[in-house]
Amino acid sequence: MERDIGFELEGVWLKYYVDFHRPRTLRELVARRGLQLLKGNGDGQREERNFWALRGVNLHAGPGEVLGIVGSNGAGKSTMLQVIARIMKPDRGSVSVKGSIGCLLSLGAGFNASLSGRENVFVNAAILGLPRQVVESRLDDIRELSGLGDFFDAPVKAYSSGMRARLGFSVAVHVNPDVLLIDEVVQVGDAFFQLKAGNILDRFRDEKKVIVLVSHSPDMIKRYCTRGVWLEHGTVRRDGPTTEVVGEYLDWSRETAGASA
Amino acid sequence: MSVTEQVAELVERRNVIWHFVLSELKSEHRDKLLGNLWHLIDPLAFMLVYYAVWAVILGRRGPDFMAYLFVGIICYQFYQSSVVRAAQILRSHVGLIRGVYFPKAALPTAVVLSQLYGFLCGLAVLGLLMVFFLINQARMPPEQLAEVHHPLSVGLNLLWLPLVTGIECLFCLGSSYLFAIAGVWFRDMPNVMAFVLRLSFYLSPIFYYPEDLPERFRVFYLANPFSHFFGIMRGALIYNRPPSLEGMLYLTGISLAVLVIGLAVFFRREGTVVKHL
Repeated sequence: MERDIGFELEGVWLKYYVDFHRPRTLRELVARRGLQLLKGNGDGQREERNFWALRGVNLHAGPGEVLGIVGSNGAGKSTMLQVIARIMKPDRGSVSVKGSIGCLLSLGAGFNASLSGRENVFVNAAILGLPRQVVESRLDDIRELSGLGDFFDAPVKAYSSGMRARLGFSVAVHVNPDVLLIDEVVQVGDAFFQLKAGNILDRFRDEKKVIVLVSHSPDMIKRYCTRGVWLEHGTVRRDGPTTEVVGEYLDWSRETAGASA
Repeated sequence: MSVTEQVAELVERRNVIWHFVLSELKSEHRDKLLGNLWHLIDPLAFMLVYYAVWAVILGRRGPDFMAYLFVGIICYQFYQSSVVRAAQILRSHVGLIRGVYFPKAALPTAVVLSQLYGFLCGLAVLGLLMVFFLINQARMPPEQLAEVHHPLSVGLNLLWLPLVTGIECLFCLGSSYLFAIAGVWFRDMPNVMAFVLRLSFYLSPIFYYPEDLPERFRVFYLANPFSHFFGIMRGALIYNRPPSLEGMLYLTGISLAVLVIGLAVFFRREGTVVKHL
């Protein structure tokens, strides 16, 4: 009884504008364009300052798959998750997702720090379109999984990074998405949380959902993931059995570290 | 996704809009002493100042001027507050936008709807004021009545109110979508807007009568959608006068055009705008 859920990225290119001299005011824009017209520079200058975070990424996943994404910092892993989650639109290529998406991206990105954990759950649910009664019925479970205890009613301002990650994870899980995207932030949770989270991952996999997990922990990837993906400099360098992919990535990292030492 | 699909998605996820409307209303006056009372006090204070200047100090207006002023003020503030807030709305929700996917058009939509609430509050205040104005007018001796520019009256033309308000909402929505995107691209949008809005404030018949305008400015007056909006509103609310057909058609046409353009620009750009937040 396999439901048709999953995602597919085809030839996805995405750029960031790392242009610290981008015209921030109308005055600058007019001045810059004026100069360009006079000098006949055209857009040549602008292209140089574009940073292509994703360069022709092809990736797909179907029901029951747990993808483990590895790669250096800045390789484009978080960006790729944001593209799957439709938070960012690619400049080239296509994204298609079947099923509902739940994400746990950067620490407390979706949180309003002045509200309590409980209030943030409702805010998050409202954004995702979950009816209030549904949230209320799951509230106890969310609180329990987060392990926050009394802090559940304290403002998120007071949370440690680990607590934020646990709240975010708990909310993302209880939304019961078909596709769950987890960025590396989940690693800041303590050992107890890691075990609980692991159980959830196993359960989701058995329920034939799709999970994408970005992690720097080889053990975590090998333990929970059905497939490994090595992303480097915005391209998929390896996509295959977990142990192989992780092994190659680690070897490459050691070599690069050794070379620059 | 095409623009129509995105509009459909926005309608489907309309409870998100509702959530943002509530949070807008809560945060707007949260830390202020008088809190939500400012929705009512602002237009009143504005009206009193302009009345003091034009009717009392300059002596150039009659007793009905207050009602004339008040309608213009609440109508214009509806638009002005919407677009100014819309220009910052995406930036002020940057964390949420980067953390979870939701139709971002919900944000400027919620801005307009929350300002609509303020507008309705203004209408309530106007209702109260009209009671006093009408009683006062009924008691006026003939010499004073002669000073009145146009007698106040309320009647069946009040029924035009929902339609005109609806049309104006479309105009505000379209403008808000445009300014929401522009506000991300240009950091000094608020300054530019302050200037443009100030200009259009003076180009709109808020504190002067259309007949006072010299002939050569007539074309600007006629082209300005606010002129028609105010005229129809005043006709419905304080003069019991039906709207002119040309005015209604022009207003509807402009509003629909602005809405369509605003939606198109917003939905095309919303994907890339995230990177600039």
